[in-house]
Amino acid sequence: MRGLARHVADLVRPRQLEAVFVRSPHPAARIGGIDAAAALALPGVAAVLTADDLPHTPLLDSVRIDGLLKTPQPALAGGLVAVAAGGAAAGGAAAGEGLAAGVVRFVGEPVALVLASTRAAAEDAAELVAVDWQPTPFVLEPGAARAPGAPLVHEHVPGNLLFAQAKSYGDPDGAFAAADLVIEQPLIGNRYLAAPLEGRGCLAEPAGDGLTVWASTMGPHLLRRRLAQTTGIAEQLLRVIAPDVGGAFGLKIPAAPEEIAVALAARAVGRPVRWVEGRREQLVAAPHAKDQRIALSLAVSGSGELLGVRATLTGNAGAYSFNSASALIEPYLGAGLLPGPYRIEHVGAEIFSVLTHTSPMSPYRGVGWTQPHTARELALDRAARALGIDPAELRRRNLVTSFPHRSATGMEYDSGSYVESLESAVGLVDASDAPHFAQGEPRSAQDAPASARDAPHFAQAAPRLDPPAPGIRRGVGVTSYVEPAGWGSDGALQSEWSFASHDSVRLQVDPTGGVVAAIGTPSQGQGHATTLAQVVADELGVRVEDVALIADDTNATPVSTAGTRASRVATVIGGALALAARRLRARLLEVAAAVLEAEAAGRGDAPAPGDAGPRGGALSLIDGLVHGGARELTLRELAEAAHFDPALRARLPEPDLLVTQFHDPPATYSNGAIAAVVDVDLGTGGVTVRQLAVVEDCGTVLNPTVVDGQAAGAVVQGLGGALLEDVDYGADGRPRGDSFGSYLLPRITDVPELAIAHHSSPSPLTVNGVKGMGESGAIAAPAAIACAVAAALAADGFTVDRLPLTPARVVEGLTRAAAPANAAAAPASAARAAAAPPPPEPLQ
Amino acid sequence: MTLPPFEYARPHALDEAAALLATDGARALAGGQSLVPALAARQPGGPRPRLLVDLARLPGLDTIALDPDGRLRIGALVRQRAAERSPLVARHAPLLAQALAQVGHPSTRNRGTVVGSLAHAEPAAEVPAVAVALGGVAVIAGPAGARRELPVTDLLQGPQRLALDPGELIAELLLDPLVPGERQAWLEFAPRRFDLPLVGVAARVVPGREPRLTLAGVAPTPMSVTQHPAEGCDMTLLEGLDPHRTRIARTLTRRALEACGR
Repeated sequence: MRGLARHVADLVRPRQLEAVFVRSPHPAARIGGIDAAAALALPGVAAVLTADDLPHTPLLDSVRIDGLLKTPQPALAGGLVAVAAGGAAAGGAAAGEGLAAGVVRFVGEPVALVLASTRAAAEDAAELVAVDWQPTPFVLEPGAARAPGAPLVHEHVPGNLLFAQAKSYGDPDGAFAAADLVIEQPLIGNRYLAAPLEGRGCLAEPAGDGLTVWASTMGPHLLRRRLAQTTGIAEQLLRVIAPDVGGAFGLKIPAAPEEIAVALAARAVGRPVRWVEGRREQLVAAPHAKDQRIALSLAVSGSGELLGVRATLTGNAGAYSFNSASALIEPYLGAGLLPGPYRIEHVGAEIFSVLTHTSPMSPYRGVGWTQPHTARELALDRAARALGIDPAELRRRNLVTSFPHRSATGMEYDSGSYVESLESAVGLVDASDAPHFAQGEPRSAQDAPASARDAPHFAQAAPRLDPPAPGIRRGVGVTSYVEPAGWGSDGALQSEWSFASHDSVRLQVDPTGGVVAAIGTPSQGQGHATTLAQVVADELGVRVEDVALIADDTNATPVSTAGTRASRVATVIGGALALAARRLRARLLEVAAAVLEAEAAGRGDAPAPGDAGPRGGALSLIDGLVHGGARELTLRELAEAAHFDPALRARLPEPDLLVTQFHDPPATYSNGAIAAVVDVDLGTGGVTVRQLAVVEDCGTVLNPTVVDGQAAGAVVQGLGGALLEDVDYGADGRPRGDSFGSYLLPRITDVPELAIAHHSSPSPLTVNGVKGMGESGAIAAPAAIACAVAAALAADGFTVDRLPLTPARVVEGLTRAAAPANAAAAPASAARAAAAPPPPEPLQ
Repeated sequence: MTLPPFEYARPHALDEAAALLATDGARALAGGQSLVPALAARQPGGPRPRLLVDLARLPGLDTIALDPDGRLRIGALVRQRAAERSPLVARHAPLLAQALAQVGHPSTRNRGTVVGSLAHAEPAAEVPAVAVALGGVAVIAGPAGARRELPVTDLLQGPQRLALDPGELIAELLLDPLVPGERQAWLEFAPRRFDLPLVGVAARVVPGREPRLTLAGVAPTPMSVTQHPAEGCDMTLLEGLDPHRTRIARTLTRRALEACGR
């Protein structure tokens, strides 16, 4: 930690203007007009721009899946929108007959952009921009949005239904007919979001006929492409730079409408324009995540065999199907992973994506998978209790054990430690005072399989907890997960997703022997500069400190159309770099052989015996030194010779130390398990997580510290999703979680000391057996914690049907369970909960 | 967000401060831990003062002292952290020290003042409830050297509402000291630790007397309740309150009384 990072907020360009957006306070409104006179009169204000000032092509969801309707999204709402034949709208500022007045569709949608010499002046001016808001009816919940007569978010999308599809794998009807036990599990998944330390932001500067844009983004090439599509500037004239980015977690994959607006504004005024998102702005106006309504059924045999799973997954898409991410990321991806890590042969899924007057969806760590996983695991625990089987044992009986395994939905699990990881996770927590679990026998590390015992960190046995105090209920939850990890195009296809996920890298040895790896996928804190440099150093045979990684600038890196997402960098980019390094190593050894030959010839020596085979075959490159020849050669000597020695060219006509490598690895799947011990205070409803164990298997580990960091971060974000985080739209259509005082992230004091352990099942399919990782806890920690709470309160008749498990919800559920008249109406009460007004606000 | 525009004055005398506060749109600034973020949020309905009167340079208001009559006297500029760590507070008002340890974080307590928290009049906050529990009296300074004393129960009118006239400010807070044999406890519950509580309870237990219980977060102002053997406190007073807060109030009063040895 040296304080040297430079984020968008640290950048200053000559004559730079600060941008502040004027945003809608209404979930739905027509805009009668915008009067900026008072704002323009303030000192320091350079311009107030509206949609009419910034002609552009609206952003469009680029996902190609049949049946998905498109919802063009303007950079600034409020302009006149031409509705073309067939219902597809073309945005823009054209005026004339047949144009609808501009509308806003969610609280926080931007309608104007104020440019001023300081941030304070821009904020003062933004408050003076007078917008004639004409509020219109709005709808916030997908159920209400599909009802007849509901206000339409987009006129051309009937019933607000963006997408509907039924899928069936195997024979789910038969499986349910044959079941001894069917568990119905509803789940209202919370809308929560990535809240990176650094919000979104960008700085756009005119550069000749083009633009240079610094952006807090996960995909500079992706943003460049979107900017080209929307602004009409040729892609080769656009340069996007991702400076240091303070976290992203999926949020910064879609091109933000704000980024387009800022780019257009810089062009319009001919000056650099910078926008730095505020926290309230981020929580309200940036895309949100998760938010699925789930009705899941699990068919189980009397012996605890999972026969089938069916689920209706309804995604709350928000007001637009977001570009480059799509409204389908939640329910559609969730459906594909319904079998999870289990041998469930029969699967049915109904997928709906519904528009509402709320902020759109972006990906967020564990995208699509988290909430269906939670629903399945809650159902599984209820089945275990109904059958009198230990929940870990029920999982053990159904986990995938042989590989490759083709799941019912077509995913090819390549290798894994599903049972072993479960055992390890159980061994890391103290279940002795928890009902329904392991019959009170805490497992010790000695019971764990040898592979786990040998793993780092496993030496720690589960610390014992004191027995719960009176009025406290203790529960344990354990969940196994599988993580589609490292999407190449093949992995994407196995999720039935259209997603070109190949990449190219460039590796070059500089004239002084330094190695530069250029990739199109920058880091937002994942440690690429360490892990990928390690890959290159190991494969090439140089010291890690001699490898530099360039990933931040579209002018200096190969195109990456996918960007840093979907846990793909380790397999796609890491694989490409490993393959490139192998080729470059062979090239360097050729150069070395040629240099040694020249030296030998100069001395009149006979050729070395090893040179009978491929040139350089007898030589090796270790830590930047060539061994095996008449003398050791340094990488620097090789590089100098290759770049500057004309004599070398006589022996090796093309001593090119530049290698490019395309790579698109096969699908691979990580796995693991998470166990949680919670204490629930019956007197307050408060849930305290006492122990949290993460066991993960991402194949070959590139860097254990980085893997531990990923495991820890993901599980803490999962804890937030389980217990605290909720955007929570109020009846007025405004998010109540609009600051860090009301949108509650976990603090370090909410997180117990984590136990992290590893297994390693290298992929047989990827370069060096590497798998992607990092989403684990974000997928499965909510399930582990929700299962633990449900187990703690099972004897009280409490069931989990909604997240987060706030103290108020816990008390409400306990009260509901205690009222005998309502006991039989649990499913109906869940439906009511969906429609009921949210709990009362705290006294102010 | 940046702060919206306002005028700023930093008077060096109470009279001067009172005169400035008597002008239209003036507002007092002490530690600024509630007011400044609220200003920066620029939310509709949020504070938009024309003038901020910074009390920082007023003399003699940053001390904690014991009055001749035994009452604890806390000046308007005493930081929460100073009171939390004060030996006088520890000896004579341990309830206040316990409660302050749960106000915000050390970094906010280093700036936030005890009296500022009282003046913020947040219904669920620690300091107003503790002030009521300890028989608090506000010493109020007004224009032209005017001084009056007002019990905190009369001072607190509702959320963010005080019985102060224009030009008045709270100069000091007087608290009853611990009596021999008394035990005090502050307990609170927040969905996330260290946040503003949903409900808090101050308990004072003196041998041979009815315990004194004061609840925060159950009414617009702190509420004194009586003990109930089974329920912790008399629930009839809390009728109409949402069941979650009722449950917490019951639980916390029971636990607070236990903590005081009842």
